Amino acid sequence: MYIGNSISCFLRKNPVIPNEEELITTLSYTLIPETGGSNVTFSFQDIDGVGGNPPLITYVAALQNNTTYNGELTLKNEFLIPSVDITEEILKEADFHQLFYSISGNGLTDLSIIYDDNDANNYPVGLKTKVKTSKAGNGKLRITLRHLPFKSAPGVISGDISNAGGETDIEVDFDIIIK
Amino acid sequence: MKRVAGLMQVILVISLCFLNPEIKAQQCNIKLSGQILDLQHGDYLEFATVYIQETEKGIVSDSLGKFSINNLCPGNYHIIISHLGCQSKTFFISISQNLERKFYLEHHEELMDEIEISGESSGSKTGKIKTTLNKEMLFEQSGKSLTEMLTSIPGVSMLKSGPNVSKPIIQGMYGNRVTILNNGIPQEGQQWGNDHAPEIDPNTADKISVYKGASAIKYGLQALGGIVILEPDEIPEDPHWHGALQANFQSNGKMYGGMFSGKKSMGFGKVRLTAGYNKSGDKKAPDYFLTNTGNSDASFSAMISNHKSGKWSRLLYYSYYHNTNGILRGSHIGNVTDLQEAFTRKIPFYTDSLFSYEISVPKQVVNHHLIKYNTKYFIDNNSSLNLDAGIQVNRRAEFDIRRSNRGNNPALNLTLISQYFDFNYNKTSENLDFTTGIQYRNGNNTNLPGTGILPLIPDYFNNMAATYFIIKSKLKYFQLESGIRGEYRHYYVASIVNREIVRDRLHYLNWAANVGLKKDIGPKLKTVVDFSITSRPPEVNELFSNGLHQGVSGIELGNKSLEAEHSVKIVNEWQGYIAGKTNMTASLFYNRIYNFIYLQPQQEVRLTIRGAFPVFKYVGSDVALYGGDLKINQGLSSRLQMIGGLSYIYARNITHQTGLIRIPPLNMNVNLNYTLGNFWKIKEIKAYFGASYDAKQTNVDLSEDFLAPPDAAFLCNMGAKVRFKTKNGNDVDFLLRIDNLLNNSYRQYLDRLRYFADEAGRNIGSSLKINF
Repeated sequence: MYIGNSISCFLRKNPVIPNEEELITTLSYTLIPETGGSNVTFSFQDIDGVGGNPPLITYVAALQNNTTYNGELTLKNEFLIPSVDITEEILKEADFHQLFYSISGNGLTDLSIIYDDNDANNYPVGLKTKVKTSKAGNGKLRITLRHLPFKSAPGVISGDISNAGGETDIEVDFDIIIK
Repeated sequence: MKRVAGLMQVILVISLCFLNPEIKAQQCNIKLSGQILDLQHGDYLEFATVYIQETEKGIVSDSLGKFSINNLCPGNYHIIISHLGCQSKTFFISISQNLERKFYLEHHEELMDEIEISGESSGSKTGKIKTTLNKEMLFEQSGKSLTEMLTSIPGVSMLKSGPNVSKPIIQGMYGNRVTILNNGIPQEGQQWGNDHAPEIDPNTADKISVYKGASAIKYGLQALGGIVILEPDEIPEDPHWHGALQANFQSNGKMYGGMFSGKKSMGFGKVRLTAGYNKSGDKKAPDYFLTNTGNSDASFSAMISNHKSGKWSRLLYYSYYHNTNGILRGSHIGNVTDLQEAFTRKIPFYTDSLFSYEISVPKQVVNHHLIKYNTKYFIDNNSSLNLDAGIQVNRRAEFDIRRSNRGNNPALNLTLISQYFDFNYNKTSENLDFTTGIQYRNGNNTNLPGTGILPLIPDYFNNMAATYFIIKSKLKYFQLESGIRGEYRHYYVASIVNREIVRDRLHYLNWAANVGLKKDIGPKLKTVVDFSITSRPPEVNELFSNGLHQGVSGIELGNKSLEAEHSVKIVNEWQGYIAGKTNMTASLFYNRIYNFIYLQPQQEVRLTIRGAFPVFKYVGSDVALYGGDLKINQGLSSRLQMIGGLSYIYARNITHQTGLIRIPPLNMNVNLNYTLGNFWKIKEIKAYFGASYDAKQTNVDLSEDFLAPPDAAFLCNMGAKVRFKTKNGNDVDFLLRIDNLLNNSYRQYLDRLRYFADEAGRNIGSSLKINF
């Protein structure tokens, strides 16, 4: 009887595939030259999340030297259909989030990425940035999204991640070339 | 002393004659005589106090532990017997004619083996040694968790995940390899998780014991590392409420709590009730608060058993346990970079400068119900049929820090409903006992929808059927205990792989066998050699885990092709007096496990949007563990006692020629106890000072862990227990305890907290227990 019950229980056992609405599958960082010209886009896309297929990392075109770009970062959950814009969610909780842009590589010491947006407490969020190139070279750009960082900790306001704390929600690396 | 006893008798006679003249009319000439003996060795206890509540009179036993009381009227009496160094015990006796009997008391200093006092001189037939913590020893550790209490048994250590979560390690084995028996029913929770503590309140038990061998054939293949047994005492046939009320306080975490236990024999049966509650806030390391490490737990249990009569015995038991555990806020990490950063922090992120009772995310909320029914039918004096049935409901919800208030939704939400049935036949004879039985168990695990996160462990339904045969025999020179078990297990698993439901059906047929030989070397020393072979089939987590284990920043992958692991273990245990006042508990073991299943770090790292994560996969390796543990109790004088302990394990992964992860380091400890009796209003005072040393674990493969083991730690503790008597002879015990006396900052290898923060600092605990 018990066995019967339990087995019939199993036969009904259909795990619900969770609706991972929190998942961030896609990051795009688009640099739009202030003085006109073609956009540069970096994107990281991992539609099936952890496991499954490896992520698709693309960047389109090189940055031009001596140019100022307006950087715009968007986040999406493309696993859900239709896809959901996570940028909105971040904006709503802007004071709980901050993006960090760190550059490594010989040639890129002069590349500057400055925050161009603020949360309600006048701390940066990092969805909008200003990028200035002043020297050709190549290297790596790491974009990090921290949840619940200490925005008031020393250096964090200017984009230094070392005292920021918080949990990492995103950490992606891109190759970057300045011609 | 005889004169005093004589005098007491005179007083008794006088008081009976003069104060209760009407009783004399009922032929008050009954004599109660007896001898007071030590439960463990049968030694007589000299100068024990015998107090009769009804007559409000007490006498003292002579130097052979004997006493006699004359001129009692027919009736019922509560007799409280107390002895220095023992827990006082109340006996309820009906007297209608002259009575002579033995009274047993338990010494509280020594770990004990299982005691069978059923037959006067039949002697034990068991071929195992069970180490037991009695009520008194449990009281001395009031306010601690089950696992923390167990670590006072040599060879038992703990795997922790912060101050509130700990699980027992028996001779290097834990989790899926240790069985916990709660009132005879194997505990079914999510025991696979290193951060899942057993869902039991130790206060629901009267005694807690450990078998270190794998010889618990009856309880399944998961007991290959050992078995922990929580059990209540039998309820006496006493028509009044007896039990204890206890209050506990601790300075670290500002913990407060209390418990109640009561027993009573009623018309319809005998009843035992327990209830407990504890609440604690943030613990404090010497230099900072461990923010969000508060916890609260509550428990309730009720037991009803029938009166001893006829051929049937029946028992119904229910227990409930609730636990809410805060997880250190600073230990919540998103990826490996966060983890690496946490290692370099002197003080964890999010450390609050203020104390708080609040428990916010991350946290665990656990509820556990157990209903047990036992019935026994005595076919005749020598044989019986026994049925145990248990149903457990285990609910575990774990909450994480998430975006947009999703923290209120559990990130993991599991319900496990399990059933256990054991039916056995038992036959005893002069020199041979045997038990044979059949068992059926199932477990139904469901991830409740709504977490929004892919589950780490799938929904499954398992069935287990087993049969076993155990003999216990008294041979000429040995006592022998031997058993064999065959077990069939079937898993139906519905896992989510790449967002598709994949169904698997797996089955395993495995067995276990053991032979234990026990020899009494003189009247007070015994030794056991236990040899066991156990094949443990892989558990569902080892087969089907799939996903990111956030707490440890690793991707954990199950392995469907795993086969059973085969363990061969030899344990040699010693217990008893090796010289006049030297009591010893010792164990030496060798454990070889073929295809030992563990999480092995892989070369692969997996790139995700959160960064690259290391990948761990369940694989089998051949391992060997050698070790031993020792506890020596040396009486230095009648009042001063020294207790020394040592435990060490050397473990080797033979396949990879490396050490093994999560093996307890060398531990040494020493305690000095000073016991003093009868002055002012104090019946007994016991003061102790202890020191404990944990060496640095060096036998590890550094590539298997994120961080090298921490340095050695040295800790001191001290305390005192004071016993008073109430007017009617019951004990009132007060305990004051200081742990980590020097407030040392240290980290423990087997605590995940070591990646993030120091262990808790000094803690002053106090407890008051009133027996009634």
